[in-house]
Amino acid sequence: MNFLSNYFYFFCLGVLLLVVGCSGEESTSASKEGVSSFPEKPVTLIVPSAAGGGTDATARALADATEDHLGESIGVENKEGGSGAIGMTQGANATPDGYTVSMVFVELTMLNHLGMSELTSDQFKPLGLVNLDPAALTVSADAPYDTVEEFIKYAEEHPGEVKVGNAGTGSIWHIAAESLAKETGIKLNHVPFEGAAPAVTSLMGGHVDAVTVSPAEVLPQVEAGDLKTLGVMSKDRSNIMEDVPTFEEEGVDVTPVGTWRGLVVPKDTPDEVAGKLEDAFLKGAEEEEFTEFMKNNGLGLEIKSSDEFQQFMNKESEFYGEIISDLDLGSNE
Amino acid sequence: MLFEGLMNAMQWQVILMIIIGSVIGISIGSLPGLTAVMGVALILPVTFGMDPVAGILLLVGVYFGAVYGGSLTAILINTPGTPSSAATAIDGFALTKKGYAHKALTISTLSSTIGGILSVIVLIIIAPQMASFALKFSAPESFALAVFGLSIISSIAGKTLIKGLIAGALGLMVATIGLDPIAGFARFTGGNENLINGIDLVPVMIGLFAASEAFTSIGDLFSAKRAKVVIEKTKLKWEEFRMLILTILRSAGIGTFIGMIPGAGGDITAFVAYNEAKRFSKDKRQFGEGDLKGIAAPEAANNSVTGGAMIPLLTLGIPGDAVTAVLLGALMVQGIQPGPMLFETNGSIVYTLFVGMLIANMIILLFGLMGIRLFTKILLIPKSVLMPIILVLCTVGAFAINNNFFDVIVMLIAGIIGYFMKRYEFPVSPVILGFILGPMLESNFSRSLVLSQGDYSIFFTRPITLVLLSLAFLTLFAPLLKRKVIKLKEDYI
Amino acid sequence: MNRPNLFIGVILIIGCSIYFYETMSFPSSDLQMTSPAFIPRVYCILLFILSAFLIAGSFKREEGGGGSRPPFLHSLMAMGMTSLYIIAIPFLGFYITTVLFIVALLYFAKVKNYAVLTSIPIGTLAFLYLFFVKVLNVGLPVGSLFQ
Repeated sequence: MNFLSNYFYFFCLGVLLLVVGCSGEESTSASKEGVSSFPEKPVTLIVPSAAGGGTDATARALADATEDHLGESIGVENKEGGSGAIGMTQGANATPDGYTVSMVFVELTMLNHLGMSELTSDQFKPLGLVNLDPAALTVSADAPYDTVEEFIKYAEEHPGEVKVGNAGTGSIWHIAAESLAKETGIKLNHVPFEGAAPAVTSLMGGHVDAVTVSPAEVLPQVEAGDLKTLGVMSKDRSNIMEDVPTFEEEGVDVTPVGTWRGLVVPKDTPDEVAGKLEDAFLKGAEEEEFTEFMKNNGLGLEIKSSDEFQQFMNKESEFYGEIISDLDLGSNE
Repeated sequence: MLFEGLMNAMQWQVILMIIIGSVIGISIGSLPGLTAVMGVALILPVTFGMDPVAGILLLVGVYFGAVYGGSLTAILINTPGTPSSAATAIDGFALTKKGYAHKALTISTLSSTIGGILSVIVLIIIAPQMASFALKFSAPESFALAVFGLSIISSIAGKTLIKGLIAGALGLMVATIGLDPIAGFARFTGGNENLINGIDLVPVMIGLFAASEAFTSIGDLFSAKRAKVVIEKTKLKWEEFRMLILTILRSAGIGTFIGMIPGAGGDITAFVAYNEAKRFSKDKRQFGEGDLKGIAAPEAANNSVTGGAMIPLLTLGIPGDAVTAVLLGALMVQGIQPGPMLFETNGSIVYTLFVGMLIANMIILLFGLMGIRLFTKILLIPKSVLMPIILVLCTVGAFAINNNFFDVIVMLIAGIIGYFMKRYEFPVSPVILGFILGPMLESNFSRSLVLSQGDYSIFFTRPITLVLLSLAFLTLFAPLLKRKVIKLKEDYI
Repeated sequence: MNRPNLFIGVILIIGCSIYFYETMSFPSSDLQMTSPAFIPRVYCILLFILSAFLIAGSFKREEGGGGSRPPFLHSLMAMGMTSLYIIAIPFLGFYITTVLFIVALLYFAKVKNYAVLTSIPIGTLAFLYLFFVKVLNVGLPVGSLFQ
């Protein structure tokens, strides 16, 4: 009797859950246009970060937009850990048949230099880049400096006193601040936090003087007038903060630093297969549902083809290798 | 505004979503390993295609339900479903063993929903003022909070303080595995990539509580003394509940307050509330043996964290913990940008959310009270049948957190260690407490010194820090001092 | 004299020493005020002192009734079976191993009723499949043998 009632409860629960689960699934229309057989079954997209984060949301939105162009469904699989090293390593070691695609981010070109992983970008064949967010120098709205130049002058007058919050030692936003300090010859006090959000919180509370995170991560507070962004460390202005100048416009010459997200397959994947995937993903990235998603989330849409992406990664890797060894951060063996 | 919100929330689709969310949440929370964060993250993609209000409230239902659901299995079978319920297991399971499961669940349900509702009311009324206070919390304050949290080991240590402290120190040490929070150096990893970001809390918790309990129970099946399960249908009396009201109110206050502090969540809160309930209680002997306040306090507190955590999210656009970070993503996908401008740009949606949160708590109250008789049935399942299922759930739960098989192995090891700890009377909750607070303590300690450029006076010159550190000192040494005083009295009278 | 406490105390002290030795190889970073080894060493010294207290206390006379612990052979066997189960999952996949594990453990726990022996594994699997795979989209390992 008791067993029965328990089973009945679980059964009801199961049915209820099934209904919810199915409502979320979208019917995938299999449009067979290609002559060659790839793809014949669903493709897995490995996301090397937790479900629910920004990278995960980007991957899921892109997967949704790409499915129609690929003609097969794309299942997102989250593999968190090791600053992305675990998921990306698994992606690199996957069977090179094109059925396992990985999303990678800027850490791919840093982890090896930091001594945190054996993984390098050479282990992948790039498909394309979809997102690029520059570092932006943001300070409290009532700070005594209004431009990048004034900030640097202030830091020169107060060496080591300006506290700059970052997302953790060795994180991209830490490198951004270090690179800024190095290239302008100022001395900053770098304060590491567990991610960008606590650093921004601390800036709001006046416990640090500046942060170097992406525009999206400070946008709500900047719009509300609590913070002000002095400049972005990129070639072009950010599309979500169009009135904020780049460092270059302000006459401060620094190497562009920022985070990015792209798609790759294992090195040995056949070119024909990789080409099909590249086509599908780049078309997906231009779909309105994806561009709309990026805009809503304040993420910088930047599309690069596989060749451009390869060159870009090589340059990035070289740059981070230099700065990380300059800063003596690669002490992990 | 509130009225408009009420009208918006009172649509059947919205209510249905809250109900579905709560049911999924309660199920997720009660399964070992499936935490509120994970539940919300996994349901998130489903909401992308929905109407903003319905989608967000589905997630809110999952969040609130999961926080509540964790206590069910904590009380019934000593396997807290989420870290927030670890404190509830102490007195909750003690009551179940005495046959008072029914009463324990009633208290947990009532305290949970009262705590949840109070925190939403605070959120509605004084969110902006509270948020500006939360911003005062910098590294030294968080460090002091972590120290205070650790001092609570002395009140949950059980029979021997020394064993509780050892367990706590072990938790702290295990938490140092992985990248150090300041310099980014990989410690104690032995080159294993799985260890770089440290060991995940959840598999450790599942192992220490659930798997070890299963191993113990299987052993008990073969020993002669088998306790017959009794479930007394004794209802909670009004007088008993009246005695708890003060505890619930205090715990809800603590929960809302700690919930809004960035970086501190339901797990710490529940232990703090437990400690304070014990501090204010006249008769402390029942704590650990099945005191009703030992359930009311952590449950009211961990559910009131839900409203508290929403304060910085909605008013500042800052997620204070992992769940609200996912909710931030959910709001942004729907085109709602949380932050100081939210109340002006999306005022009606905000108030609809508030009303929905209240409804979610009511639904949990309803389902909780209706379900108690059903939930207690789990005790009638023979242990020989239940334990294999629990071990399988532990395995799946540990795997599902990161899709990483390494976590399953961590769970197994933690389970074996937990078995021996219980066997030799080492309490397991301090391990969890140390594990949760270790990283918070270390990173904020080091960060304080970076901020002050090496000046230790930063820990003694700030009022909030000073208050918290004194509280920690009191909590840790009060039992020792008391014992001394009593002994002195006995010796001289 | 409390033998288990003495034994545990000694193990903890040995563990502490290894842990402390590990911290010797940590770099002292000049970027920060505190080195990565600082806090771990504090914990380590703390545990060392506590273990010493535990050992010292273990020589005191027992306050009676400490020695009657249930035998742990059966619990150990359950741990062994769980370990085997977990080791086998990557090879045989989640579904087969789970059925085998539940049946074996039920049989071990003296459940001989065939209705229970069949319905419990099937019921558990059905629930897990519906909840994890269908609703939560968590892929359960299929096993390297079947890939």
